[in-house]
Amino acid sequence: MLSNVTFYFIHGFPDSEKVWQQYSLELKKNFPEAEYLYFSSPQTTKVESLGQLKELHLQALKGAVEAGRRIVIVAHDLGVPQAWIIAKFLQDSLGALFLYNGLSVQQLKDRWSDLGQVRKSWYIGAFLVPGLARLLMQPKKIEKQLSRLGKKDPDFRFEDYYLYRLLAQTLFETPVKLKAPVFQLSSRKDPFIQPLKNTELETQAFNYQHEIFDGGHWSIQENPAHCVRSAVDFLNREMKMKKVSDVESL
Amino acid sequence: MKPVSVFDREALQRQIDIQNSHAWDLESDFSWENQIQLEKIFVPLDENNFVFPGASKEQSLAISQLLGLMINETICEMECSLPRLKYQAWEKVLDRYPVNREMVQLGEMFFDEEDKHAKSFQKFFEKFCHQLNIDPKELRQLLPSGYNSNFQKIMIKNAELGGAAFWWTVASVEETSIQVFRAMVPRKTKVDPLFFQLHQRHAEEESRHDNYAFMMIDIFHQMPKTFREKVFAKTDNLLAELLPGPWVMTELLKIYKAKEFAHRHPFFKVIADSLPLLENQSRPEVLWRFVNSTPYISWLVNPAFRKKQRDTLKKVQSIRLPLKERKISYAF
Repeated sequence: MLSNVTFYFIHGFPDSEKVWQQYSLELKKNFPEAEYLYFSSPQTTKVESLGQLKELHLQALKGAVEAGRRIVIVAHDLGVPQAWIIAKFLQDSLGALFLYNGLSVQQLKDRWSDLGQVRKSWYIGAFLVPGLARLLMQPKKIEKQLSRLGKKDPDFRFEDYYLYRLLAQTLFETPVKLKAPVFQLSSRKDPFIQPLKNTELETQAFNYQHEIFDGGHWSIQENPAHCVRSAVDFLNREMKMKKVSDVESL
Repeated sequence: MKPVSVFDREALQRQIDIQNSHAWDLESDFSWENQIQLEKIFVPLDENNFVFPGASKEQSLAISQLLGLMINETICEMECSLPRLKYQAWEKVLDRYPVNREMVQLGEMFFDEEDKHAKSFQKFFEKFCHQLNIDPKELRQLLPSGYNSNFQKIMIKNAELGGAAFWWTVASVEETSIQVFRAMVPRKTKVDPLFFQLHQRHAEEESRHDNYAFMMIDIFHQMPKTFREKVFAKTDNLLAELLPGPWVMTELLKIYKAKEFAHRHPFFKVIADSLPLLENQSRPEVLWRFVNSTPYISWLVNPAFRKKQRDTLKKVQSIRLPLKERKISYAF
């Protein structure tokens, strides 16, 4: 009964799939028999185009789609734009999106004139310029800056910056409005992303809910229980489910 | 209700539950079937009757009843202005900074309750007019009206430009309305029971949701702001402190309309006959009393009497008038 849902996790930059450890433990309390798939970004040599990246995601989900499972994409940071991109290819198989501390490419594009946002994420622009990204990418410096934010991880994957360049290929695509419910969480003290506005979500999803978390960028690690509860509460309301474990109505 | 963090969803949900379970009904929770006891006062006046010194018993009763209706109408005007500003001051703000669904739900409840309060004051006014056989249109001309006033226009403009002066004003009126009820409690037996019940019910709900205005101010403080909004964040409170004074004073002058209607009803005549008591005093002295020592009026126009705003003012580091805090003495 509970095996018809697959949670598909996409991590951000420069994290690895380990960022989901606590969060997925919390999620398993609600959905113990669901399937849990963790996407791990491949080396740049393996992915050279956006098409290839999409293919990798869809390949990872092929088994779940063929088995008729509903897919819930859970994404953080740079995983969020990837989630928006692959969501439109999943059509009816898509159950919901749980998005944390990230923006879709469209949302980021619409903020180009927002000085507050530019001040926080100017480096993304630099990542898009071939050669400049490599110059900027000094792992030790970045590690130092991240540790100041309380973030330490031996598995940081700094080479993943190439993903920004791939995702930028969708800058001029017309976004598709999703029918699946979308839960998005921003953080009050996020040093990289300003909290989202409802107007930024209503153009991309019919059923959505946004919440501002009283914490920093890594909300899924700071308070995984809260992050899970908020998303599952929303899903329950959206699906008019009576019980959290009643996944069949997803 | 104690201040709650706008990010604390559990605490907000608790407040929703409390407000839901204790909400009163406009029809079934009031003794509307009872007559207003016209020989009883509406609001207690100060013993020295500073504003109308030497007023007779009959005049004091009429002044107390008119002042009670004026207070009701002032609160009602504030509550009626809420829907007019709902989009600019609430919907737009929560769209820009959508904290969580509980804040939206609490806001919906806040606006619904305020609408209910306005209706209850309206109903009492109609009952009073009906019982006294006074033309409501004539009596209304003596009462405050905020509609289309400069005060309201400035509030709307401020909200359109991204300011929170409206929420500071709401917080002031809510605090004053609770103070009005506190002043009635020690003299309960002298006050008309229906008027007392009206303010008791009103104060109950106000005290349950009076932190909502402060939570909205907190959201204004938290959300990313433009330069103009940053300036507003520092000065909005000043607008809310300075503007009600002139508006209240202007609206109080409507009492002179009683002369016009003196021949129409004895109630107007008693009021009109009391006016010389006011006119015989020097205007600066009366003004000074209104601002400093007249119950209800001073509490509304003088920010020094508002205790609850102090903490929020400190938190948002807003500019405030250099006034020394004043404690209200309900034993006037």
